Amino acid sequence: MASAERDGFGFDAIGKGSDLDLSAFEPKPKLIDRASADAASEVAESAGFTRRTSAKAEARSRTKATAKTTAVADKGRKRRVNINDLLGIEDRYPETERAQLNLLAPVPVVLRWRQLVKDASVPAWEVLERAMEALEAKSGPGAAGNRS
Amino acid sequence: MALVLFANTKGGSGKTTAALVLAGELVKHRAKVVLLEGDPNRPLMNWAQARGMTVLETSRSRVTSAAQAAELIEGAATTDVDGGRLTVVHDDDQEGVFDWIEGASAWAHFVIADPEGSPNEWLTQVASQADLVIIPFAPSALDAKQVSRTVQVLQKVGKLSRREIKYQILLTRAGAGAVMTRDEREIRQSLEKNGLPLMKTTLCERPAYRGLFKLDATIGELPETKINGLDNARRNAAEYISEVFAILKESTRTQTEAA
Repeated sequence: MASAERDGFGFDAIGKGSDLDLSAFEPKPKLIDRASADAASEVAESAGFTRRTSAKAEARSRTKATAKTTAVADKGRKRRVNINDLLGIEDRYPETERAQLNLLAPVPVVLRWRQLVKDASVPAWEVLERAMEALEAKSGPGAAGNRS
Repeated sequence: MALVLFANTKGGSGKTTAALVLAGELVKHRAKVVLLEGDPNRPLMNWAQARGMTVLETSRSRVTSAAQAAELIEGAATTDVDGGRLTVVHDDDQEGVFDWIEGASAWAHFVIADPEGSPNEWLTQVASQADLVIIPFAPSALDAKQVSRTVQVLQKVGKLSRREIKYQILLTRAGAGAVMTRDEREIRQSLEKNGLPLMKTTLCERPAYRGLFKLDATIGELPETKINGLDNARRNAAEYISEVFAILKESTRTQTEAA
């Protein structure tokens, strides 16, 4: 692109097979603004926005923290073999995909559940997630996730 | 380096298409571009894999530093015939998103982020670091309401962090005909009345934009024999990239002056 053709922004020749003037956008490590990041998290939380991986990250750290205890507790009793554990597969379902959860429960429980979901006006899985988080908050990490 | 986020808390607003058009055009102009995808539906990852590109999945490629992310991004980059380079990063592990942004910015001229069309924290986190947030929406009342919601979230983040988050609203999926629908006209008037920044360019509903995902191509790569009205789409895309480029350039100039 001839410099005579350029305007103030350097993009006047777009679509004519010429280059953009990329000089203003040279690669440069972006300094993360932590104050803004914290503000973003706060806004997201107060607005009830979903977080994609916290559950998995928590589960991961929980697994590490409780591995020793579980091994001791399991000693001397037969436990079900998990094929994923044997194969070293961390999770059958990737965090980013949806999986279906079917369960049988007593009728009064199901009716309470339906009412809860209706009152919450959010998808059922969000109500379930909140319930799990509340349970964990009350009983400590791992309370809803232990497999012993 | 510029970080551009396409944000709308509603799905189907044209975020991914707008992001892909921008990325494709920038690469055509020899820029180094990272497409950072936060959408669990993985449209960009599928697009890239169908083209035989290596896609970095953050849950599989765990990094402990920005330098490590930059190295992986460079290693996975595909070179365009014109010399531009593109890497697609699918972020399915939100924990390290800032390392990936830092790493991507150390390598690329442009990082283009495409979140899920839902109210999610990934969107706000990336928005908090973005140089420009583009809010695409189709001209319907339903979409317009979600634009308001997205703008409110951005303003809240900006207010709390005492940092202005620059945003522009992009009309997408509008009819390409000369006559504007009543909905579109009313929405435009309302945006203007409320002083909201609407981009001059509209990404109209065109076969070429649908063709991006049908043929796993960029606008520049689409075959003229298979796509009707490709010239118009290319002109439209060129206007769009010009406008985005001008906004970013102006923003960079203002930031430099302020510093």
